[in-house]
Amino acid sequence: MTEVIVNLEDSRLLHNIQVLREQCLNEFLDIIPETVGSGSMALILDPDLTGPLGLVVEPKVLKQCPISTITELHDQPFESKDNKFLFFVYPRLELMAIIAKYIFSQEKVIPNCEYTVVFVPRKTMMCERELEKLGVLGNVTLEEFHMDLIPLDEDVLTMSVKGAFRQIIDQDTSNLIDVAKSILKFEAAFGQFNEIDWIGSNSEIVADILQRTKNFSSKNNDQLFPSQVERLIIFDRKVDLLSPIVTQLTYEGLIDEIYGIENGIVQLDPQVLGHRGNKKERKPLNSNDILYAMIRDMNMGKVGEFFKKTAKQIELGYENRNIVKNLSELKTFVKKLPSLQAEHHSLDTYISIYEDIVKLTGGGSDLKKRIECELGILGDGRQFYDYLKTQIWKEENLNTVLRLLCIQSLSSGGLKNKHFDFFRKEIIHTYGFNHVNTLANLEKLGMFKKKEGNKFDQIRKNLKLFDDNFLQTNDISLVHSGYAPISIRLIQCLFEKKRGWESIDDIIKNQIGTHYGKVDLPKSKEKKINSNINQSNNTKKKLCLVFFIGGVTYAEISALRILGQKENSNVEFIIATTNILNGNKLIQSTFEIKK
Amino acid sequence: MDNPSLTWNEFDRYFYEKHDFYQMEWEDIDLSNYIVSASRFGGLLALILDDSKVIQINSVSVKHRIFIYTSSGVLISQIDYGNKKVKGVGWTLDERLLVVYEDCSVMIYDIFGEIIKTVLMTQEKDQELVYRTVVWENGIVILTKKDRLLVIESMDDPKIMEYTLPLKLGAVTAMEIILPFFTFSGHTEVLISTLDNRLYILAEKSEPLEIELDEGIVDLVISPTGKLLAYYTTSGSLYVVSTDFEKNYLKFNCNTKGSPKQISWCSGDTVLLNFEKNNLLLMVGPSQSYLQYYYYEPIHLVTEIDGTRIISNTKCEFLRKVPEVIVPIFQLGVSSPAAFLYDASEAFLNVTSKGDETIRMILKNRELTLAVDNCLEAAGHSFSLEIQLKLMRAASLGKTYLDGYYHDDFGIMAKDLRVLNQVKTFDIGMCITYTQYKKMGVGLLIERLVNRRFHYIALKICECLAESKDRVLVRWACDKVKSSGSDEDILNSIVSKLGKEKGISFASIASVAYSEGKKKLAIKLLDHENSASQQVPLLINMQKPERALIKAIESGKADLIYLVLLHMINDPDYSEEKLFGIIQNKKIAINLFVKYCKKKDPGFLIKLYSELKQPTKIGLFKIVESYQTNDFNEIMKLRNVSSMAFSSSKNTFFKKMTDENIKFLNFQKQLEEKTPLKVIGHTINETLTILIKREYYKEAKRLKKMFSVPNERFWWVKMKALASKHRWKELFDFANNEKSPIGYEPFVDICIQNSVSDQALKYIPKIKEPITKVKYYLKLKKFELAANVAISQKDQTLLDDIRNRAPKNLKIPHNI
Repeated sequence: MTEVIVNLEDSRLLHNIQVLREQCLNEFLDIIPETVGSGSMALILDPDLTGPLGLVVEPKVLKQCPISTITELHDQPFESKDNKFLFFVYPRLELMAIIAKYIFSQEKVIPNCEYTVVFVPRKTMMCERELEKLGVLGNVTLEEFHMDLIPLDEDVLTMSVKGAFRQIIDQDTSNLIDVAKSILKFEAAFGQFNEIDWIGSNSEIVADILQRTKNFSSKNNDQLFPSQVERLIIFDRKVDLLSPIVTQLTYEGLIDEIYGIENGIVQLDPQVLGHRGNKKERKPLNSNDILYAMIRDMNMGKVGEFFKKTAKQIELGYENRNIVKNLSELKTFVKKLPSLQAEHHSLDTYISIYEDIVKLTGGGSDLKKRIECELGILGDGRQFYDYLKTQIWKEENLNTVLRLLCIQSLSSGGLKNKHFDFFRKEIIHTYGFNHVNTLANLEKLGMFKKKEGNKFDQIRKNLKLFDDNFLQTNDISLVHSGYAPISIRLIQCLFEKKRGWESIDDIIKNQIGTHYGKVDLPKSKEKKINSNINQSNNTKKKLCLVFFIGGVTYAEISALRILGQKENSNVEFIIATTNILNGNKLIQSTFEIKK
Repeated sequence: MDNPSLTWNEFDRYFYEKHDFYQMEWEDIDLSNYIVSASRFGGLLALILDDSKVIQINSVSVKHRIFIYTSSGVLISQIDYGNKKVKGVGWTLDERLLVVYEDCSVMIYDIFGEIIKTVLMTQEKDQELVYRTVVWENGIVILTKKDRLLVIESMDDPKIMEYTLPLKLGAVTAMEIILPFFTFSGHTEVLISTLDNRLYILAEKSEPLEIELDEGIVDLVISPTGKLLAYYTTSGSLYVVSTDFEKNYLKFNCNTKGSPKQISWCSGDTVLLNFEKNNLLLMVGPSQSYLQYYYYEPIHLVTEIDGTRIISNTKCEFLRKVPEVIVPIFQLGVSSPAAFLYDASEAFLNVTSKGDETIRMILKNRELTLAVDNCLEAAGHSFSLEIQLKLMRAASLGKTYLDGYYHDDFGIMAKDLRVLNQVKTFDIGMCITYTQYKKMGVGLLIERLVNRRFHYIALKICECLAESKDRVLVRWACDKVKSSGSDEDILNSIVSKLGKEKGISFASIASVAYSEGKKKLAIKLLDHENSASQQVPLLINMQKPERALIKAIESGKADLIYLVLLHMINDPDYSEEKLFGIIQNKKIAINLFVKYCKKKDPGFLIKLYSELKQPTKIGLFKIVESYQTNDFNEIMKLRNVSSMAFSSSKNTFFKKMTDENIKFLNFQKQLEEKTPLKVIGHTINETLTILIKREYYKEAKRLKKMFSVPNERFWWVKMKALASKHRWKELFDFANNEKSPIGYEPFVDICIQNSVSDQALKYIPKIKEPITKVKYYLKLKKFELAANVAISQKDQTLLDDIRNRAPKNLKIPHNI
């Protein structure tokens, strides 16, 4: 079986990043008793937790625990022969009633079982009260499992909060304290940040908590060792809602758009890989595979070329005669090399996926047409109302319809009244009255709204959001074949403009319409020492942690990597996020009523 | 000074010594008139006038009073307890006084007489009276006159347990307990002896264990380790047995008239019997040996872990087995490395060379480390300052000869001695031995000092031992708050002393100010609190919900915000208006509140929305609710509420959509009544599809008109519906009836999708764009037809392209 969890032993950027995972794993093992004594123990998981937990606890570790049953928490009666129960849940009020139901039905089977409810990452008073109201608080032991930031890759950390974007919609700030705590935990492991920038109101709340904590904690900030990560940027997703709904056009981004990547794993139909059967195949996608690390951030248009080049290199290395002309030849060629089967197997897989994507994005395909529309809107400010109308009349997937509509609205300051009402009516008639709430949510977020002045043209110009020559310039706009995510452009400004965001104060405040600031940190002596070290050791790039509240896309992650790998850049990025987002997930979370 | 061993008594293979701690400060106290209760670890004494005695001193002031003295006889306070009758008194470890009254009430006082807690052991209506009671450091056992045995094991969390008594309980002669941590059950066990020669062992949830004895027990005492039981019988014999009654260690006939006033354990397995009437204190050892001390005044014995404190009218003494580490240093005729070192050190002072030789000899024998350690430890155990000094000097000298000696031990002992000698001074009067000090810990010592309000000394001890000062400072501040003086002065003095310290709990200081009725001071103090988790609950208690909410929001902790909100909802003092007024401009709190209400209190949510003047949100929420029911009338009701809400928010589009939906639902309802169709729950498009599939064309048309469905959409829906039913002829008629507003490509596409190419071909001629026509013909492999289009368009390149794609056997013209 392939290793599912990314191996972080030789982490390139942040040495020791695996401690974050090890801490979590140790804490998990501390919660699970080493022996069970009489009877047996069941582990019952919040369904939302299964995936994230898999990033910390490998199946083989779980097998060594004295657990006889592992199951997901569902709202149905349950009877078990076990007499000890460990519930792992996010502190969601509605789960408490389900736990109570379990306990009541289990007590009828075996009285006086032991129940432990483990809250991730922290228990809340509300849940405790709810358990009390339900009359089971006396039966249970409450514990906490502080699983917050888990490495998804050597440069990506996620809190894996499924409803993180939903919280942005509801302006629910309750998990921002967890964000702040995870940042403090990161500092505890890798040293204090010398600089903290924030943008957007959610970031401001987190920054306030950090500021307060820093003011009150020990005034002695002098560290013995220089920080490994010098800077932190806290980015509120609400600042840029456009970028996540633009189709991602990197290799990894398209895999996510088309097949969906969950917790670093893509599940593929065997046909895609040229295999038989109907069981989906799980493929971990991370930097452990050097080949994948090389192609994932590439624009799709360059991947084919890369494969050909790689094939040539391989060929030149082994055999000088046959020149591989096309991909299928390459595939056969690869298969002919049994000694390097493992590596070639992965190359084979990537090529198969590539071919499938090419098929789906080829001429005449819906996806291709959609990408053309997106680029037409973002690059030239064109309107595609007729196309959009037809899409609705054809009853195309509402997700894709809304994505394009929102891109149209966001890039032109809204739709004229006539169009706005027309599209809304057509959506309600076609997809159902329940989408009144979806539309209200999108309006509240400002993603789909009535026209009120268009500032996008200015932003596009000022932040150079569009670059037709992306393939030559290696600009971050290659992640969307010409469109550069606003989010990453803003971060770029922080490093490239002399006075950071102050240089583009007007753009941020009046055009994008948000605010920004810095956490006031005490100047420490360590800083001086550090700068001395840096003078002598100038070759090493500085590290910066970017924390996205509300989610980040693979394309944005790629853009940050591209930014960091540029020759003239003196910084590289570690990305932390509440969750990995894409357009479909974003739109999906605006659906309030699921029929 | 003379060798200390001169005052030792050899007894039962060991040495015992009696040390004078203090000459009592009190003057006119006659202990024979008082019941005395002493706190362990050299602590305070509580004296109550013994009701059973004829009162000699007829002054009013001593009645109904508890006097609290130090071990040195310094009066600290008097507690006036009114007209009640005291049945038992005891001390908690941190020196709070536990008093059991006859009416089964228990009070806990601090040493200045302030009531901290009151616990009622029985219901008042039961009118139970206490017969006998045993009070220990954290608990109480009461035997009532109605023969109920009630036990509390922790005064912090007073849960009353009732133990089962034997059916016929004879007249009780003595009662004693075995502490929970010494029993198998983990719960307190109670021993009761009766006049009819029986001893009962009682435990929680179990039947009484009965032991029949040869003679009646007069008094019984459990040893400090909980392992041994000493009892004195009617015939004047002392027995020592194991607490499980498996082993008998001793039977000793005291040959004394009368019973002892008190039995006490002393240093392990030795028993002291206080025959006050005979002026005799009898010490009995395990091997029948005994020793007699004569006292010509009343005494009270206090069992300590390493000896017995003897309180008399004039003195406070301590009787103990001499610690083993001291014995070989001073015992005459015995030599040990430590003794050599001690002598050598004395020799050094006398400037003789003998000292150096001696130490080198010890070093050679590799016994110097042991000698140094022993001298250090012996210093700790010694009472005399002079001996302490000499021993420390010896240790100090010895360690200079040692490489790699762990010097910290010396420093620690020096500090410990400073602390012990300091608290032993007359004013503080804490006569704590080194053994006791190690057992009780610095924390408890500081707690006791702070309780006595010796803040400064406590602080100095913290500094000396590098312990955290927070607790002392907070307690000082709390006492400061209680003092008279203006709020301003108190605040300034506290903030100036504590403001710079980290981790000070200002909340607990504020809490004291609040309970003292100094509300303004409390709020000002709270402003200095850093932890919102401490601040918020207190502000709620102080009826400052808005401030509490602001602090909760600042902290970012959702739980604290909810704490304030739920408190306000559940408290009848807060009207809804007041609540809304407070949260009105606090967006974060509102959003969290909404989240909670959506799940738990939808009714309140509507109130909140109307208060915040957000009718659109009401409308939207009612739509959410409507999807949780299948009841048509309920849905209609909710829809009407939504409509009204949207109308009052002037959201004309949502209002229009909602009204339209109401119309649509009615349409569907009628349809279901008239026809066998099931349409409710379907969208307009879906309903249209169903109608067309089932050939209800008139209704379909009506629906189209009613909701002004655009022609294009109608065509798409109808086309898809017909195709899904494979009604190809009808589809063709439909397409021909009038000009298609969606073009004819969709028709071709849908036929191709359904693999009916003959049908598809019918629509291609209707397509406008020649190139599209060609595309479809090619797709359907109709190359000749494609070629015809190219020819009619006079497009040579297109024609060539078609020919190239066509199979060779087909004759495609070469030229137009």
